[in-house]
Amino acid sequence: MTNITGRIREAFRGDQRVDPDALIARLDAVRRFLTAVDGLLPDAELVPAHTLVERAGTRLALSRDHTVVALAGATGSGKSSLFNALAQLELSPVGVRRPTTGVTHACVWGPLEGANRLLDWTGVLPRHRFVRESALDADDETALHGLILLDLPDFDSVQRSHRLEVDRLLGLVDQVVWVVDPQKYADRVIHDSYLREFHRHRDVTLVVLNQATGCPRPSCPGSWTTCAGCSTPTA
Amino acid sequence: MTTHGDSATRSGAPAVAARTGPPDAAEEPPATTGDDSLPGALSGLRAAIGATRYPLALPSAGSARHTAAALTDQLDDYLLPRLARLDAPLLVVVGGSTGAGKSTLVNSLVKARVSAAGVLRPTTRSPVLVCNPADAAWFRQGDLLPGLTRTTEPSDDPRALHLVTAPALPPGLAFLDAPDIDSVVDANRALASQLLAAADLWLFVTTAARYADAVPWELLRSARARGAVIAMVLDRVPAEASDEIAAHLAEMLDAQDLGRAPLFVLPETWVDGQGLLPEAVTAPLADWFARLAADADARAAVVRQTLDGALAALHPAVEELADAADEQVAAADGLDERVRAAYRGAERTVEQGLQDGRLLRGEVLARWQEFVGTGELFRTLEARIGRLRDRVVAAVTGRPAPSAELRNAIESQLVTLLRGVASEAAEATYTSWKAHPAGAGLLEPTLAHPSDDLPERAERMVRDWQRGVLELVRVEGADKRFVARTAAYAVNATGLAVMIAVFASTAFIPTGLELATGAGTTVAAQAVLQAIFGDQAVRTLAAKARGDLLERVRTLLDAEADRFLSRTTDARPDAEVGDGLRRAAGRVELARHRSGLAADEEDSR
Repeated sequence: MTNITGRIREAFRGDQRVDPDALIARLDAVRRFLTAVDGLLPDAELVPAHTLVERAGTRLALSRDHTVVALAGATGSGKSSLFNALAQLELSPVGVRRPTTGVTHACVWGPLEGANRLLDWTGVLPRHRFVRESALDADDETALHGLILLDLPDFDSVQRSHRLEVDRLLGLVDQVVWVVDPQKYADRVIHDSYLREFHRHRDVTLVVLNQATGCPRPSCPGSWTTCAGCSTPTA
Repeated sequence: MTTHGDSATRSGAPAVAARTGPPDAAEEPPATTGDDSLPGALSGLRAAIGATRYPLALPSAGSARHTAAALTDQLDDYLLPRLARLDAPLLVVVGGSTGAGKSTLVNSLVKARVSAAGVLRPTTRSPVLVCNPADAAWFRQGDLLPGLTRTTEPSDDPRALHLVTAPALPPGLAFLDAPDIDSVVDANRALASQLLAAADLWLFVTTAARYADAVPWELLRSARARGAVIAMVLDRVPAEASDEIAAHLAEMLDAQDLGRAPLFVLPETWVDGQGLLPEAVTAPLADWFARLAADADARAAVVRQTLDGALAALHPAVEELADAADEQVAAADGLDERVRAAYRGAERTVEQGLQDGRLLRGEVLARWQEFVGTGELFRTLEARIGRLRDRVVAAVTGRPAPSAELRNAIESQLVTLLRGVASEAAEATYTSWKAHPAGAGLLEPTLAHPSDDLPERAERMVRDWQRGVLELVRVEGADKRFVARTAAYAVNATGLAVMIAVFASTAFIPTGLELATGAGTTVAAQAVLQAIFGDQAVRTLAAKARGDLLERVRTLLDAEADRFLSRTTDARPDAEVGDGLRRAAGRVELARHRSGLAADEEDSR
C-alpha cells in the first residue's frame, strides 16, 4: 500500500500541476475566438465552447492554487481506504457493510480558508472537510500543498442517490482517479458509463487497480487490453 | 467456516419441501386434449408471439421486440421441454456478478475442475453444464436450451453448451455455470439472462464486496416476480466481517420480499492445488443440494413452483406485447387519419374554389369575355356552321379560335389549382408524419412534394373532363325536351358555357356584360346570355359536370394520398393480433389452472 500511495502522491505533486496563468491565457484565446465568430458560425456548434469558457471561468475564479482530485469507483473497491492512506489519517469511514460511503469527504492540503469557496461550489458539506497540513507536520506534505482530495460515494450500489452525486461531482473536479479492484474491473457500469466517456480526458484520469494482492502479477497487464478503448495510465 | 445463523433452519430441509402439492400431481400425465392442454396452449402462444411484428418505430416497439424474443427463448428453452418431462433432472443455474466465484463454487460442489476459474474478468464466456453421468443423456439430447450446441470440449463460443459429467454429483441435479450478469461483454449478459430464464432453481452468488451492487438486485427482483426458487450464496466474506455482512444482506433480502430464500455464507479462503474450496467451507451448501437431490418430492416441488411462477408471469408480459401491438395498429390508424385529413382538406379547397368563383378570374375570365365579346359565342350558338368557319379563320390567321383558348385557359387554371392543393396536402402530411415518432421512420424526402407526374395526370384529367362535359351536352341534347330549347346551341359552345357555369357560384352569373357592353354587343346578345345561364337545363348540366369534376379530382388526390397510405399498409400489423395474443395467453392461464400446478401456488401462498 505504501508503494502505491507513494506513486499516487508523486502524481499529485504541486510542481507537476498545470500553470494557471497559461491556462487563463488559453481560456482567453477561446473567449476571444467566440467573440470574433459570434453571429458568423452556427450557435449550436459553439455550445460546448461556451460551456467550457463559463465553467472554466467559474472554476478559476474560485481558486487558482488548488487542484481538486476525486477518488471514484465501485462499492467495495477501497476508495475510502485509499483516501485515508493518502491522507495518512483516518478521515473517511471504512467498513464492510456495502455501500459504506454515502457522502463526499474532502481533504485539503494547506489552509482551509482558501479552499472553502471551491468546496462550497462542489457542495461538500463543511463537516466533511478536513485539513491535512498542520504545524505539527514537518515539510513532508508541502509537496502536495494545494491538493484537495475528494472521496466520492460509489456509483454501482442499490443506492441510486450515490450515483447521482458521483455524476454531479465528476463534471466539477479537475482530475479523477478511478479505483477498481480485481473483482469488479470488468463490470459494465465502470466501462460503459465512465471509463469510455472519460477517455477524452485521459490526461487528467488515473486508474488504480486496488486490492491486487490476490491477483497473480503476470496476468494483470493482459487484462487491460480488453478495454483498450479507454486505456489510461494505471498505477 | 461461517454460516449465517438462520440459514441452518432455513436450509435444514430444502425450503420448498413443505410446499409440496398433492403427491400424485407430479405423476399426472400432461393432458393431451388438443389445444386445451398446457403444451398446446403454450405452442399456440408461441406462434402468436412469433406472428406479431412491431414495424412502426414507437417507443413501446423496442421493448416489445425484446420481450417477445425473451418470451420465445423462455418457451423454447425451458417451459415447453420442462412440461414435456416434469421428472427430468433439476437444473440449478449458478448466476451472479463477475468475479463472485461462481466457477470456483461449482467446481468445489462437484469436486472436480469442470469450469475454468481465473483472475481475468469475465472468466466464463461459454456456459458449462455439470451433471451426473446417469443424467447426461437428457441434457445431451437438447430439448432444454435447444439454441445452444452441445460440446464436450471447453470452448469460447457463447452459443455452445459445454457438457461435463461428474460422478461426485448426485443424480437428479445438474449445475449450469452461467456467464456473469453484469459483464462488460454484452453477449455474456444476454446469455446469462437467457440461462437464468431456463433455471429450475437459481443459485445466486454474490460477494462481500458486491452484495449491494444495483445490477444483481434488479435481476433478483425479476426472479421474484417470476416466482423462481432462489438460493443465495454470499461468497468471499472476510472472517471478521461475516456476521455483520450476513445480517445486512438478510435485511436487504427481507426488504425485497426474498427473505424465504436460503442464504449460505462462505468465508474468503484459499483454494487448494486443484482450485477447489476446502470441503468444510462448502459443506452446508453441498448438504443442502444432496438432500434436494435425494428427495424426489422436494425436487418436483421446486420444479413446479418455478414452472408455475414462469407460467403465471407470461400473462402480464404477453399483455404488454398485446398492448404494444394495439398501439402499432392505433399508430397506423392515426397516421392514415393524418393523410386523409390533409387530402380531404385539399378536396374541400377545390370544391370551394369551384363554388366561390375563384377560378373565374384572370385568364379564364379574359378568355371568356373574349369568347363572348368577339361574338363567337353567338355565332356558334346561332349555327353549327360557325365551328367550321372558326377553324378556317384560325387556320388562316394562325391564331387559335377563342373557344380553344378558353378551353386551354380553363385547363391551366384547374391544373394550377390542383397542383397547389396537392403540394399543400403533401407538405401538410409530411410535416405531421414527421412530428410522429413512427411516421418519421416511414418518410422519404420525395414524399414532401406531390408525385412528379402529377401535372401531366392533372392535365389529362382536366381534358378528360372537358371531353366528358361535351359528351354530356351531346347526350343530353338528344333529349327531346332539351333539344327544343337548345336546338340552336352548338355543342361546343354550350359545353364551354356549362364549364363556366361550373366555375361560377350560383349567385354570380358571368354575363360578360361589362365587356359586352363596351364592345357594343347588342342587348339581344345579353338576353341570350341571361337565357343560357338562367336556363334550368344548363344549370342541371353544370351540376352534373361539377359532380363529375369533383369525382375526378378525388380520384387524382386519392392516388396522391396512396403514396402515404401504402407505407402504413405495408407496416400495419393485423388489427387482430393484440386480441390474438390475449386469447392465447388466456388459454395458457386456463390450462395452467387446470393442470394442477396452480393448486401448488395456492398452497404456497
